[in-house]
Amino acid sequence: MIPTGWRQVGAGVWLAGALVLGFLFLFFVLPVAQVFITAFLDADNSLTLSHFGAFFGQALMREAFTNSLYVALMSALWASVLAVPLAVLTVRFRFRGALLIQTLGVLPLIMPPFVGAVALQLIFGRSGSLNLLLQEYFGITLPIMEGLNGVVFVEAIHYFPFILMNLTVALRNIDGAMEEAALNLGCRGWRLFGRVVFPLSLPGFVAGASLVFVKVFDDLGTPLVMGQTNLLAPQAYLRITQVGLEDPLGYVISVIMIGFSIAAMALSARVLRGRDFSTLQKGGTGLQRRELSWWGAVAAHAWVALVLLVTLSPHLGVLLLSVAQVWSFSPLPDAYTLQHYTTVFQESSGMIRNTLVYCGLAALLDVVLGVTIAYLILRTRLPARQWLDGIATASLAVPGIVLAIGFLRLFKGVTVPGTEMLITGTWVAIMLAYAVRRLPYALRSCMAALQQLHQSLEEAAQSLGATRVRTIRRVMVPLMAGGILAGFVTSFITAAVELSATILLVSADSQAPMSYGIYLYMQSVSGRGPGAALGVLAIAVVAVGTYLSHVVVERTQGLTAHNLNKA
Amino acid sequence: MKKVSVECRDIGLSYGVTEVLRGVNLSVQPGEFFALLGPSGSGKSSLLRLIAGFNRHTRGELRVDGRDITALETWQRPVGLVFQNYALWPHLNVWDNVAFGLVERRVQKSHMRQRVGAALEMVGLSAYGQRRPSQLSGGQQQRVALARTLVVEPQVLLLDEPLSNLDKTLRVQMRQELLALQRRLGLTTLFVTHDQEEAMTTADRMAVLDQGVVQQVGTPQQLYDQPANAFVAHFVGTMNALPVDHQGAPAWLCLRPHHVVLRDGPQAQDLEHAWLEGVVEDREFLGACTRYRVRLDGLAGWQVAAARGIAPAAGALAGNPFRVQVDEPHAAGRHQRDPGQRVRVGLALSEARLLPR
Repeated sequence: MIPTGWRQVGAGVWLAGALVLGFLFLFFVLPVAQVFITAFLDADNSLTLSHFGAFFGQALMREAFTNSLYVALMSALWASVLAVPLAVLTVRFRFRGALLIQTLGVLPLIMPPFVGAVALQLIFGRSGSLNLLLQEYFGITLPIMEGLNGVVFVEAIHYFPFILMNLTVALRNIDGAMEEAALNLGCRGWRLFGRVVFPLSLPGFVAGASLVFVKVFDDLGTPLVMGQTNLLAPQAYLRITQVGLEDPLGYVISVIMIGFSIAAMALSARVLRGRDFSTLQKGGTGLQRRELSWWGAVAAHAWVALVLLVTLSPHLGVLLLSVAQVWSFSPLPDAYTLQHYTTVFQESSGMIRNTLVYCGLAALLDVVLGVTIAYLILRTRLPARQWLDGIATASLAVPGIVLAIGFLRLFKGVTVPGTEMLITGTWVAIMLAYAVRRLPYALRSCMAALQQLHQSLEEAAQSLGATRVRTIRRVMVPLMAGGILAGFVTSFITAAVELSATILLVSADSQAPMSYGIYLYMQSVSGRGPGAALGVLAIAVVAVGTYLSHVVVERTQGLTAHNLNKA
Repeated sequence: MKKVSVECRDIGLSYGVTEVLRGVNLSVQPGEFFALLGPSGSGKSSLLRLIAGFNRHTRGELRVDGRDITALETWQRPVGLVFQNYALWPHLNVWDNVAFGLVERRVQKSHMRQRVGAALEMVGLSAYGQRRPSQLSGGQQQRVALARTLVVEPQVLLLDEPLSNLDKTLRVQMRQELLALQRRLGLTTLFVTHDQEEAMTTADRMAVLDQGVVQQVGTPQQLYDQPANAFVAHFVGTMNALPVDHQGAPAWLCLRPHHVVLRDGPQAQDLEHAWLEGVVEDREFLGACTRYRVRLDGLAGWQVAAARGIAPAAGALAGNPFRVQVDEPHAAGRHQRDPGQRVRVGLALSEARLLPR
């Protein structure tokens, strides 16, 4: 018997649901399942844990495992050290640098961390600007960029904005009375922060810190560029590229990475559950901003200046590197040139075009999928529709390199219909990997846009005779346009700097997008200049995209607020 | 416990150029349950927060038990505040919320357990220690907030709109509980409200505030019977005010609705009432009585009043319609007057008050 609700679901809705599900299965669920199966299957196809035994039996792998944990945890810790004081400063004090901090919050994100790594090497490395100066004047050097701690340094600088943004929002949502009640009962200063303010903003902090942990744990590009290969992601990469696609250890590492991503997200979800501490009520006032003492103001400005200097140093370094003729063993380049940009435009204009094409198509695919899923979930009674959201969002937990391994494994030997070309040998595979990995971002934007759209607007159109499809086209899409565009831009810019799936899926230099090009250039000392120039172009693309999405979001917020008021 | 007084002398508070309080004088007696009543923006909440130590007054003196506490921080004042939204910390359970202030006072573990237990018992929530605030009803949250404040034994209790977040039936019950608790503890208590019924039913004495100034202080009965000015007259209870001239000076003739009577036919002049004519505009059935709104034809034809030196205000004769509200006692089956019906309206002049206009 068919449940009554199902009959109201039209054939078109079923078809749309089937298409989305088909896409997700073919390009996400099956490749990842393939990775799991390979990790748990013996040569004779029986279930086994022997590959995991082999993994933990090797000292090298055990070390890679502990190294990855160490780097991810320490990065989250140092990112917190950078972010927590900044968040508290902006929310709790009358501080003129607040706007500066907000800007500061976005700057690191517009540059892929592996690009920054090279620049940071030149500034903070053993023979970088800082250490050369320290050596000359004080006779000491700081081993900032050495070994794993170098990776921690680069990752913390890059990812601290996630904590800053989440914590700032959480702090802003605390009702001022929460603080006053504590003051009235005798709790003040650091005790007030420790007993009331921080616990209340903990959910925001945990959300940010777990995100940093996952991102760092899965990061491939940064350790590779820094020559730190004894971490899980680089080991998986090396296994697949050097030992081969049949080597089970690459799959074991993939499963471990997914496991830790899920565990970190589950842990943060557990902490967050039942703890919506945003106590601010309608009409209530937030935490009171207080004046900084003179010394406090000096310390705060010094801290902000220091963090700003450090977070801007990769940008500055890349910019300098891209115009440096020679830059080694000196605090600043010896001579300047624009030669590298000419080189990049001559040699690598294909890469720029590739990035635009792959990311553009992937982002387009994402918003089409995003709008469809959002519509199916929020506006139809398609059975089990929540699963579409669940599956699409699950791709957040899958590192790029794992998805790429899954693609290579699943589509091994499969050719594009009618030709001799391997699917995994075409750029389409790269584009699809981008689309799958960035789908959660686009989906969230589309869901939010549709949620804000009052259903009465659609009902009005339908009561005036518009069919379902025409209602979508004439009412919903125009009103959702801002959200859709924001989703497109987010997908686009994050895909433009993605390296970990790219690096495995690029099978010919002609297919390489900018991110891969930067990585290739950075491999050799002579390629650093052009690599940096390409990096500057990538940053420019991302920066313009970020700004555009910001503008679009601002503008549409006005539009939807207008609608809500009327509704 | 020692009962203490609270005294405000000429207290002024301004934010920049906006004057929130303009010379407030109040004297709350030891052990009194005192209401601060006023419309929103009158400065009543600012005054409460000022006594709690969250706002700093820009002039004047604030004394508790004769001691000037102006310079003290909120945690140094012997004053406990219960917030309008209760401000229970969602990350702590009920027990830890109540124990919070004792932890700050470094109270011994065993002693603390006993005091928190006693406080929760006092508000009838002994079994709820392990619950989170979000798992409690509004009334229970209110009681936790009360226990949290009382457990540190303040000398003065401040309640900011204590009942405004509760639904109506609960409000009446909580009102009585609050009062019973205050009586038992004998704690000097100030509470802020915009609800005149709440203030009148509970307070020993009350102050009516408007525009940062205390308009009148007294028992609820004094304020109801002898309002000092038109604002108090309108804010405490319902009041009819008609513009008149009293011995040549402009005044309001103020009468409560139950001091006005309605008659159908022509009525002999008497010495008690001034009789006017009008039309019933609408009615509200209130149960014990029916409240009519009557549009008067005018204030002309008012001979009796003249004997008391009262004449309709000069401008009032120009034909502006005046309305009075009349409460007619209700008994089962009694016929109600319909809108449009002409009536004679008798004003009981002996009950009227003349207030400056």
